[in-house]
Amino acid sequence: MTTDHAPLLSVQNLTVASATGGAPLIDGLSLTVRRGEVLALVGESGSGKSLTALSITRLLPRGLRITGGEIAFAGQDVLTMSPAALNRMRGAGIGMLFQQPQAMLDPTARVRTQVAEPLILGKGMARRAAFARVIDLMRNVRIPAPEARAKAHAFELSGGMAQRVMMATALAAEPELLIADEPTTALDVTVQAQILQLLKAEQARRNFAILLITHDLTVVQAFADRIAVMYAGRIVEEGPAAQIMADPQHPYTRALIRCSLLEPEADGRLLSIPGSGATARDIACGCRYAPRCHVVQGDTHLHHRCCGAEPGLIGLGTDHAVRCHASQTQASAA
Amino acid sequence: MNARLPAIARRAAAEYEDLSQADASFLSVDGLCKYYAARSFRGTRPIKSLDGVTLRIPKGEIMGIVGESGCGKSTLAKVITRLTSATAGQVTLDGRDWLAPRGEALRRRRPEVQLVFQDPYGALDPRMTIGTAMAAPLAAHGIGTTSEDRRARVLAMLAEVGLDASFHDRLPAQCSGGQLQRVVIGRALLLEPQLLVCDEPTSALDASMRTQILNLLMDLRAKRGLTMLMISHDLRVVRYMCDRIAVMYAGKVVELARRDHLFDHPAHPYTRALIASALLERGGIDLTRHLREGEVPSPLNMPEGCRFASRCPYAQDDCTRLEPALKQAGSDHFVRCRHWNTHAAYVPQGD
Repeated sequence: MTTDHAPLLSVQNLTVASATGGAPLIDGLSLTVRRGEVLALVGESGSGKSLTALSITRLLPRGLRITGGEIAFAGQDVLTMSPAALNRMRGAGIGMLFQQPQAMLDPTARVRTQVAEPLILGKGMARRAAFARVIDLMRNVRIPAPEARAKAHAFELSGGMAQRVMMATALAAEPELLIADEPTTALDVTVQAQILQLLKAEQARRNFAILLITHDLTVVQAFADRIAVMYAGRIVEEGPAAQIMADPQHPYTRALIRCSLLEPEADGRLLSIPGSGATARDIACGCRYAPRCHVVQGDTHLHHRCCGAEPGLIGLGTDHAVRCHASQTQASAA
Repeated sequence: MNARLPAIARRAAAEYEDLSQADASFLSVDGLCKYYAARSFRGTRPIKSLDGVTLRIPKGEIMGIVGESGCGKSTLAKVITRLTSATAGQVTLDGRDWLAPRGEALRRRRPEVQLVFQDPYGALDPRMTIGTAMAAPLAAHGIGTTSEDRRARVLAMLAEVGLDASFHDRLPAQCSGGQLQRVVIGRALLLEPQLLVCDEPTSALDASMRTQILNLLMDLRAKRGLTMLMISHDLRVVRYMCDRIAVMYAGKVVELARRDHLFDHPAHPYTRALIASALLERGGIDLTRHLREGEVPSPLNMPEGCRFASRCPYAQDDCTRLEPALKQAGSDHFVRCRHWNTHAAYVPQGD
């Protein structure tokens, strides 16, 4: 494993807002992905995880724009890149996997044309050579009868097969980073597990990094090296996956893990978070999670503090940081 | 009775001998089949969406149905809620034939079985206020004497599902998905059903909403003694909610057991693969022991023998030739596998 000091991807103070104004949707988000690691970006819908991924590849939908911050991929500044350089980076530098593989594949093109695209556009390969390589790529992701399937159209594939085709496409130009946005959410559980197992095997073989965006803590537990938890446009906790899963410090992380794994509490009920998921828009001041936080509710002193000022993202030890007054007070007392 | 069934359904029913011997229950489903017709230039072929499903649900219990997309679990919900007809088989509810009533007789009995849908946004009219939407079934079934009486019932139900009175006049667009799912549950319960069928009630919701809804269903069950059929692809949901679980694969029940028994001693290779896939082990995924790389059989062209044989790591020659029957594997435990008792000793994986 190469251990470069500079991270592969570095996002600093990223802010994304609507072009028409209003509160930012992503507010001062920083994260790094190191070479060869799997970073899971976790959060509920509306927390801003997909917008983060789209910002990294400069694919934000019309009407949203990056209003501040820096994004560097492999030492290059993504925000000042020329359109041609951006196109080379997408596909050749950063591969992408999305939730709905069928929707991402062109229904009018044969599978091989799409898998070959990053080879032809990103690597400048000749068409014939690229088509030959496609068969190997499809074999790598264990697509049975790759010769026949290469000539098929997307609608002839099952969901699992389509996601394998997407994976072959995303990995075709040997990217250093794969952004996988809910790659298995639309798939059946047994197919999901097979796809994840395959992704892990390919990652171990070629040592690329993965930014895995998911709401499913089961997947994170089995797959990620590090976790960053997002809430309402901000990262609230970040650290090694095993450590966070075993001993989460932020009340939201703790609640999210309990909610996802559906293990009953001592009274036989499931832990639930009151209220509904907040987006960055409806935040006034103080900690963004305070209105739903069960730690704050029972403590008037904390209530005053948490609703008054937003906590910073403070390190708790090596590699582990949390944005919570209560946990930070506890840690400094210990 | 058997004379009425097509030959293929008679054969399917006989395979269920072991389970059919168990006493009839509050809800008894016997040899239920639903074939859809697939028309093409080659002629009409049946799609065997449900192919001989037999279940027993005692009063007050929650039966979970798990399986992957296309296994027939939603078709089962549709047949049991009488939203579609059955091709063959029987369903009795509280000792009465539930598939027989038609027309006005069926309409009168519809309140007995109610359905909670997967997508609460789709289940409510976007231009109808919550109060109107909840009162409509009451009026249709002549429950409540006046509109004031119905309004009082709706307000009481809103409180029971954890929503305040302000929701009465809101439109669905003014509510979150979790709140709408509470409305859908409340609307179903206003008709005082004997059986509540929940088809993926939480899969459209975020994790924090999901636990709120599951807690609500458990509270309502405790309070009202509800009998429920809980359909889900999520093993964690059925593990939390259900007393008994039936695992479906390609239109058939492949294993049926009490909840803890199913998770501690799964006997069917598919159940094991499902458990290993759903409750992924920490720090690694190793499915090769549980699942071969193979495709789920097409419902248009079901294989002759065991339907799971194409993906089963334990499959033997006879599995592809002979169809296994649902056999008793213990008390309250049924499994559809010819070799369940000879597989390598299984060590449950947990987290």
